[in-house]
Amino acid sequence: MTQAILFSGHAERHPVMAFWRGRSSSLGSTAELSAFLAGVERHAFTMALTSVKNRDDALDIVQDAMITLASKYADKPEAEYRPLFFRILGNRITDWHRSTGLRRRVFSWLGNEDEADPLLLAEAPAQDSPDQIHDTGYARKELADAIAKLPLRQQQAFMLREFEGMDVESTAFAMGCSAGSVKTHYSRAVQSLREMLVELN
Amino acid sequence: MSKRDQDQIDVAAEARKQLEAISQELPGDVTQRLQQARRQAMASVDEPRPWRINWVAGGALASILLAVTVLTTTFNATAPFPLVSDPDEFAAAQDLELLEELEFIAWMIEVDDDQSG
Repeated sequence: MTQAILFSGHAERHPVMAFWRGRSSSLGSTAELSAFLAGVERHAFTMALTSVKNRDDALDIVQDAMITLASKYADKPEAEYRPLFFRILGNRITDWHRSTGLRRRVFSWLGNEDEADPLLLAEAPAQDSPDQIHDTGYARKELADAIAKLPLRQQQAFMLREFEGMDVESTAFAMGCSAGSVKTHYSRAVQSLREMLVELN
Repeated sequence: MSKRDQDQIDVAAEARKQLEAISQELPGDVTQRLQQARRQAMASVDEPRPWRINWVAGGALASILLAVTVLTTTFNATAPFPLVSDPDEFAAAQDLELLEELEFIAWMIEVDDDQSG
């Protein structure tokens, strides 16, 4: 029965087999996890910064995502790190936008619209934009701003597919949606970017 | 392929190139913060997670406890009356109690007779 379980692909679903498999793979997973995080941190920060346009918040988001992955999913197979990590990262970015939107509404209700909250996306200081940090050309800022203006789901689909190079299935897992939705979000994102850039130029 | 499609492909490729350049040109303080974040994340891997239950060990422990409970209850349920070292002594003690009760009943009858008489 044990052989049937191991070779039938049901090992992951058989609790005892899954337990021992997890235990045996966890011995090498720490080094794999560290290598994965080292390889993904720059892209993760760029994605977060492009979306939230605040350097400190972007760093906090990336740090939170790393800690969550390490503390809760370190024993997962290495192949699952990438979609898991970007799912966590995407959730953190979404949470940031929700809390920022709520704060903005609260401030407007209190009549404090004129008092700029430094954390509000609309009031983000210029030095936190990717362009200012890197002292780059006009085109890079245009692209970064255009991506930031995309609806969040389109932004995520574009960044994961185009920038991170994830396939449709992994992107769908990271976004918590279907493969068809990923394709729709991605195609609309690219179309919107093109229209925005053509309009600017 | 239409010009529009080609434009979209070009835009996507250009965006990827620019984003890659951004990620490779991060300032030193940002890369240091990222390294710190990574170290902190790896430290959390070694921290004990009390909320995670080793279900195999937990199940084995639960089974052992259950077996002990069942066996203990079974022995208590079939436990005989307390053993006595000398059955004759036990019998004698039982007779003594009976005798005392009979004496008490006799006294009660005598008291009733005196009161009625």
